[in-house]
Amino acid sequence: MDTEPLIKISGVSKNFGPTVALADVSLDVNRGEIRGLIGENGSGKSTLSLIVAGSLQPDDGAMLLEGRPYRPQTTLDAQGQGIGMVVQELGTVSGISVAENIYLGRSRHFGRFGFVNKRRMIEAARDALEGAGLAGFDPALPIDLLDLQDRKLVELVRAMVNDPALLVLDETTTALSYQGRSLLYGLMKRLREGHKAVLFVSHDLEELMEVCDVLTVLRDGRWVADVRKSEFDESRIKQLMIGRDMTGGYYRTDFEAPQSGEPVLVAENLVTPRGLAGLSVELRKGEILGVGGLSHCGMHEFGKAVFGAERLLAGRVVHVPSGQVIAGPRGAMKCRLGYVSKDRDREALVLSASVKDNIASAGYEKITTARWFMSRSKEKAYVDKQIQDLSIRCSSREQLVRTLSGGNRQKVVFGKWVGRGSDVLVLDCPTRGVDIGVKAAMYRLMYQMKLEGRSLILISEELPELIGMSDRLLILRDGKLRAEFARSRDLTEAQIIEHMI
Amino acid sequence: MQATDESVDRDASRAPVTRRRKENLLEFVPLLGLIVVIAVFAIITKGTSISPFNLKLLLNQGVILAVIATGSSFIFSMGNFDISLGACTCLAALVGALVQNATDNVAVALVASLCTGIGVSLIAGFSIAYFRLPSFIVTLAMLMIITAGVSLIIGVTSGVYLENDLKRFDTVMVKLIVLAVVVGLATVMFRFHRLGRSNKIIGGSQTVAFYSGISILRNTLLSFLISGIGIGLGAFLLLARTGCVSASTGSSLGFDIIIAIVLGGMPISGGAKSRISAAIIGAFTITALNSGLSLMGASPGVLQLVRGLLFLVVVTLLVLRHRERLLVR
Amino acid sequence: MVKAPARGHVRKLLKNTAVCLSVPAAVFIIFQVVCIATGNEYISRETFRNFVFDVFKIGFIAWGLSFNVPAGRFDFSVGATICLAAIIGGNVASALGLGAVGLLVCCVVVGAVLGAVSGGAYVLLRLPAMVVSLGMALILEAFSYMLYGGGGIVLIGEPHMLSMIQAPWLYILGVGVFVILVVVANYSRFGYSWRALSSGQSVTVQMGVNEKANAVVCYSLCGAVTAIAGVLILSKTGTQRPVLGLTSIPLMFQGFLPLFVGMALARYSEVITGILIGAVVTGLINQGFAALGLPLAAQSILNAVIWLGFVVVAVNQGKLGEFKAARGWRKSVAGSDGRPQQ
Repeated sequence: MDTEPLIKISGVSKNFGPTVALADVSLDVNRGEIRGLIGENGSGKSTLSLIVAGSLQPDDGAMLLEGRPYRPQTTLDAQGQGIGMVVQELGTVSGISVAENIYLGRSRHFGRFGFVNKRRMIEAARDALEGAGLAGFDPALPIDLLDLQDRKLVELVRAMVNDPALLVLDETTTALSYQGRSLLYGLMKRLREGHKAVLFVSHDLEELMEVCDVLTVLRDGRWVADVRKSEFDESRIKQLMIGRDMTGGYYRTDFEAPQSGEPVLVAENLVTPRGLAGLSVELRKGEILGVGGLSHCGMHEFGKAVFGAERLLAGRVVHVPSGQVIAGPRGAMKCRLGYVSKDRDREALVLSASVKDNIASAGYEKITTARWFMSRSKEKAYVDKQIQDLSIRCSSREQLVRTLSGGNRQKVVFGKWVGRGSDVLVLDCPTRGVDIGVKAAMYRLMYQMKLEGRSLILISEELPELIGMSDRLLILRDGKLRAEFARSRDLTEAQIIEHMI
Repeated sequence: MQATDESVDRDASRAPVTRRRKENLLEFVPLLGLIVVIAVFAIITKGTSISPFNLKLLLNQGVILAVIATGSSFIFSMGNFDISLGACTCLAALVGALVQNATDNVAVALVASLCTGIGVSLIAGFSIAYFRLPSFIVTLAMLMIITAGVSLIIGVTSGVYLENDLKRFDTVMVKLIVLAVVVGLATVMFRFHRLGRSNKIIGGSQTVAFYSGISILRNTLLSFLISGIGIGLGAFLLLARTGCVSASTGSSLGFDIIIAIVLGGMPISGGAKSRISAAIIGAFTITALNSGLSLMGASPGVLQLVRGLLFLVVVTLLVLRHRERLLVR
Repeated sequence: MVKAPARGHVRKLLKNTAVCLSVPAAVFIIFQVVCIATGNEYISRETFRNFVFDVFKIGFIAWGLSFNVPAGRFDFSVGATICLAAIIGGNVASALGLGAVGLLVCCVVVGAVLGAVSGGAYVLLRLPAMVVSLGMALILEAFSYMLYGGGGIVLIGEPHMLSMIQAPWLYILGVGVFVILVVVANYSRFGYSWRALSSGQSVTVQMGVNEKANAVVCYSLCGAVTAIAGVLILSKTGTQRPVLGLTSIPLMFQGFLPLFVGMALARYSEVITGILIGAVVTGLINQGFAALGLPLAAQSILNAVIWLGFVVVAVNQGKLGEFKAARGWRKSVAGSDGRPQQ
């Protein structure tokens, strides 16, 4: 009995239009096992978890749950068959109570003839919360009164209420603090002891190695290896994820002391409604200024504020050469600033428009003749130059951005800003969701721009990238500057992390 | 280094070539629709609908619609929606008529019509852009306010008649010239000026437009200004044609413009596929449809039923390929 | 476990009641003062009946709208549904020789069916609700003209059918529907799904709530409830004429101000009650303008302006908060240079 896997996934494939997300992946998860799924962005780990959770349907392949065919058409279907899930696609619904969130879609269990017994639902929710070790909130309260972490924990409780045999967790811990994490790990261990299983998706290798019994490595939508706990070895797993040895040649290699150019941009005492609480920063010519911290430290707001896209309650951003105070993206662009957004598909690209329209959208003045009107031929040349320089893979400049892969989309965003000749470029997580090839190309481009005397602000959640690329590295916490590091060969993640938390 | 990216996109780059050819062909569907509508009615009415008299009628009515629709294309392209176009036209015609009667000066009347059209349009545009309100909310309120305002001025049943008619401006020549000028200028603005180009980006995503340094306030105001000019010109042509204004003037116009834009093949949410030709082709299609059905003796009820059904069918066909899994709101 | 003490509950309840009642009270006092100052009579014994009629009429429209508009489904077809439901329901009731209750039942059933048709169209076409409802408004209006030879419904001279607006019936009807709607919204499974779908469609659907069935029920309920407004109008005027050219939109529009007031007050009570208070507020405003001798057109202009103003405030509330926060910040950070303490 024990030898039969809880869930057997065989030959599952999934395509999104032209993009292959999963190709012929097979894996078995046994009872009493915490299975980790790891891989780079775009490796297919989230797609696989969503297929198991019933949120996506595979194009090909089959799954067996406890020996029976398992083909969930919806998440509800999956839940009915004993799958619980906390995945990024889900979340809580604001405007209704904690109890209603926990029993979302299950109100039929609390009453009859189409009516709902509110009191019974609240009592049940209270028990469920306490059962998960979460005493302390009143389940009758609107969920809006809870912070992000507590809402995530409510989601976890929701996933647990019908006692799932398999719990699917997709990047759940990113929203959780240490306390929330230990709560989650405890819950996972309890599932293991109860002869259940957990499928745990994360990009945090350290965490996975600590928590999981077996790790499955995916790369480019393919199964690469299953690694047992006894064989865990960080560098080997990394190598499996990447597919080749990853030493050198990735980041810039120079470690000379950064030349102190004259300042180009000065941010004075920035305060924003959410995020920044009095931050002053100076950006110099020809420097890559890294900005890091935890997700909510204010670094993303800082990037927006520099570009004039965030409302400032106090403080100002001054473009030193012109003496202009940046007010709004338009003004920022007049001072030759550019901004590569973290939320690419929502803030940087019109997916339903062509490569040409997107690249041209920030450079109208570059393709205008006679002051008012645009020249088609100038536009074509302008766009084609970016396509060529950045080697954007598209069938033509008229191809819709929607049909491009993540990496190529990001190149289009770069083209938009590099093309118009930005002297200061704010890059918010520029390598997020792009594969290694494009990543390396971006790093080369960034270094190239630095050598040309342009200034870059690199905001990133990945410390190796910050250490590898920055001339100076600022660490923010709670919207304030906590530490500053100069470029050095000896700088390590450990030195930095203590200032972040 | 770029192996993975290449493998993903190699497939992507081949497919769109045929897709693009298909898209290019699809661009002619609205024009084909116009021809089919005219042909079908010509056959059903045994040629009556394409008699010189009826063709002239078609042109006369179509041009007014086309002028207003062309102007309002700028609004629609940026994802805004104006339901008050008919009421605005009515008000502009009314003011034109009153000024014409008071001054007996055509130029002053034309300017009055134009200013009224631009004025009301800009009020709506300003409210939308400055207060960040949804356009259908603002234009719905404008519709209520203007309709009530018109009935306040002239009463519900009576009308304002021109003392000296403007029939001399109600010629095919004048209309064609106006249409040509409007369409020409609009096309230039739409294709070769940053207004049209950035409007399409705004229609695609306001957020992206904001982060690309496109001023939504400025574009909205300019677009409503152009729409106002179209309303003013259309109202003047309407006045010249009918010689009187009543509360019901232009009541069906507002919706006909929306159908026209849709029939012309422009997505109702604007964006990258917006084009000026949609307004012109659609305006004549809906006019041909209206007059053809009337010739066949259809009652106003039937006429409206057909328009309602057609509207839903065409909008559905336009978005058929990218309908969402979830219900859109 | 955090459990609010009972006294806190009572205090909160009192405070919320006070907030909810203060809005109509303020409107009443303002108009009363203006009317006294200008020598007009605000609400007299005669106009009070009209006021109650007005409150329930717009209340029914707003309650109907509340099923779709807050959920992001803007509905242009409500006015057309009201007219068509009254015309078909009235003709059926008349042909069957029914009385006032029969008329009410017929109209409500027709309204529910028409609403379900609109909802079905929305679900099938999967277009933005605004677009579908615009097309549906045209189609329903067209039917109001095409059916019964374009005559609509005339019930003048049939007082037994029109007694729904007489004193006890109107109150019974209003209070009855109010109670039913409060229960449906807060204690039914439909109500639970509806509230969850309104604020988080995607998550709720993933958790197994059928959003399509829910949408159709919402439209159907909207049709049924707004059809009661149609019965009231028909009972008052004795006729319902066909409508064409989107002239039914003003009718729908009457429900917007109470709806938005109700949504704003929902924080302090509950949405159905909030809307009733909103209807009272709107009725007081209408009555006030009428008492001051404003023509009907001017009243509807002012109403539209008030509504627009309300929307502007509602949409820009966040900005106002930020503005206040900014002032606070400037005070607190003045003097500190914001440098890290290193």
